[in-house]
Amino acid sequence: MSMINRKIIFTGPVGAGKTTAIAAISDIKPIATDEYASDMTKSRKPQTTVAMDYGLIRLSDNERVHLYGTPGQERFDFMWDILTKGGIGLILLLDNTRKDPFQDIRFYTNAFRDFIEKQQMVVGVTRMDLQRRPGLPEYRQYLESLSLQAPVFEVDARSHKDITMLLQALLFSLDPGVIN
Amino acid sequence: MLKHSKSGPLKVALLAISPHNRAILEFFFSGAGRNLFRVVAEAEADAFILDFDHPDAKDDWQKREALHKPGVVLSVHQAELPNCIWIPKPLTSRALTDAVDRVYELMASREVTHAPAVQRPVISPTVVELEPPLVKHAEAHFRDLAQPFGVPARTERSAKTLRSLVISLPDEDEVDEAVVPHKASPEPVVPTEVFDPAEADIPLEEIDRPVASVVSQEEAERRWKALCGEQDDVQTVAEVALFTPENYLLASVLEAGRMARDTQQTVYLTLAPQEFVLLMPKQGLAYSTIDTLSEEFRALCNNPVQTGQFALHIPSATELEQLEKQAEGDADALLDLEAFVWVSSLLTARGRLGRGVDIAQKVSLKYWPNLTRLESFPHAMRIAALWNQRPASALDIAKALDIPQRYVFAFHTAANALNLFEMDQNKLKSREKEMPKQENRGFFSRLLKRLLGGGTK
Ligand SMILES: Nc1nc2c(ncn2[C@@H]2O[C@H](COP(=O)(O)OP(=O)(O)OP(=O)(O)O)[C@@H](O)[C@H]2O)c(=O)[nH]1
Ligand SMILES: [Mg+2]
Repeated sequence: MSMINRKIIFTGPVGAGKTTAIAAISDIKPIATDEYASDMTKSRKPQTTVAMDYGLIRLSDNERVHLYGTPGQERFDFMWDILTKGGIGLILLLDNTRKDPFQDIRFYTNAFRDFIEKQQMVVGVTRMDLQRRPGLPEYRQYLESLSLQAPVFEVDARSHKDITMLLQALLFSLDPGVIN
Repeated sequence: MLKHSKSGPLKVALLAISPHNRAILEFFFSGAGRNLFRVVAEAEADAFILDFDHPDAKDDWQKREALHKPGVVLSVHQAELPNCIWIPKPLTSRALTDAVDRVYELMASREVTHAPAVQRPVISPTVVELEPPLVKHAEAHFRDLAQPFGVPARTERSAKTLRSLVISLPDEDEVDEAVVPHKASPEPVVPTEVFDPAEADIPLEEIDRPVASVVSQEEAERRWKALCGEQDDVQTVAEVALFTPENYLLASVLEAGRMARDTQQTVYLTLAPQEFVLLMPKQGLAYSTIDTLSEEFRALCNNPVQTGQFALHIPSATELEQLEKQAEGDADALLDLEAFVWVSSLLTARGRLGRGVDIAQKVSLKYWPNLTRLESFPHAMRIAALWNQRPASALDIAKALDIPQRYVFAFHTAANALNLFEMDQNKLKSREKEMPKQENRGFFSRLLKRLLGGGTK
């Protein structure tokens, strides 16, 4: 029985909710960059270093969906090339309280441009409970000005339901004929 | 993407460096940068890499200054140190690639003043030309590892082995001979293990997530009937049930929505004596004193109106202050502005189309509705996806998805009220996307079921 593996990539700026979102839908407790990194700084003992977040959905014994979160602190363009290989889609999380979320859009959609073109992106705007502006109409228009077509939803990364919706939009966008 | 270095791998030793940055470098060294850098023991190193934001960095560097070996300094702020080159954070592959040449330049400039000369390794140009792009190299490398996704047994771990989480999923189907690295040259020691965390000896704690369901199936179905009606499918365009928006509250809601959008000011709409809704475009919120889930609101949307029943105006500054205070103190009654327009449209239309809509006309969904904050009904997500993919009439969509027409009509009315459709026939063609690949359909369906089931497997 061969193993079927698919990847979904979560990206976005620092604090946008990538780790939280993966935790909201993963079967396993996600391995988060931050924990391991800070543990290690304290002890300075060599142990496993994690350069990204990782979660997993096991569909069956031989079917898995791997959830990867890119680290938000640095640009890892060389990593992304490899990370996205075999990926089915990109979830871009944006923090509405950041100084210029549109610049974040530019940066991440540019970094993942080839992948987005080949696959599909969905956008989740977090922390709208803390700050309402910009609103979704502005986000839609901004994406359109970049010639990008993607679902944009307001989400709370802590909400299983919201993150599930982002994934649904991703799957249906890839193939509206999917039966649920 | 990455340009080639004219020289062989630069032998480097890592000094003070945060685990995070170490992981990034290891990733680069084992992948795209494997022909550029080789991590070696300190004594063999031609250069040092250090993270100047690390508390131990300055100390580490001072101790080695007398060795006259170049340093590659990583830091957020510019660092100018003798015999060093600076790479600003965030790190990029380009900066790391360029660093190799810059270090060799540094070494060369020192050769003039200091003896003995540093032997600069050179790869013959023909070999360089034969080599595939570095990224391909990295991918080939991952494929070539004997145990790409398993952690080697503990005994294989030597002290100098550095570990980082590097993931590349197996794709057995495409082993491209052309990108397999030259076997003639000895493989550099790549001090990185590549493994899939799912198979690693990191404890992967299972999460038990209870199935969360607030409303019963029965309740949900009752609501869907209120939102989308109960009509059976029709065979021809002439049989489609229509409603006249002007006869309902909806007309006033749409007008208030337009006014709010155009003026970017809060609009007050009377719903009944003492009852009102505020449409607040700046915040993207609505405040309704009648709960949109209530029977009262449903009736209000369903019943034909008397003229002048729903007055609207833009409140004065003092009035607005008062109203906003009231809304703030009643946060439960706040909802997304688009959600208010959406639900008003649905409750009014009940699965019918607005009179004046050209039923046979093909339209395309320009923007997705914010489905996480709107009241949902069956198939809404699929309808959005398909309509976003290609121009179609409502009847086409229902047929293609093999779903009851009333859900598509409901979606059409509500999305139209939010101006989400592209109606311009000249622009439709350019919006058409490729037909989706169906190869993953079974897998996606199982994933969807799993997600919607909510609980653990
Ligand atoms: N109020 C609010 N908090 C949120 C929302 N989404 C996420 N958070 C919180 O934001 C914080 C940051 O989320 P993380 O998941 O750590 O963000 P991240 O993208 O992984 O950040 P980095 O790893 O630093 O790049 C967490 O405390 C979350 O609980 C939201 O919609 N509203
Ligand atoms: Mg994180």
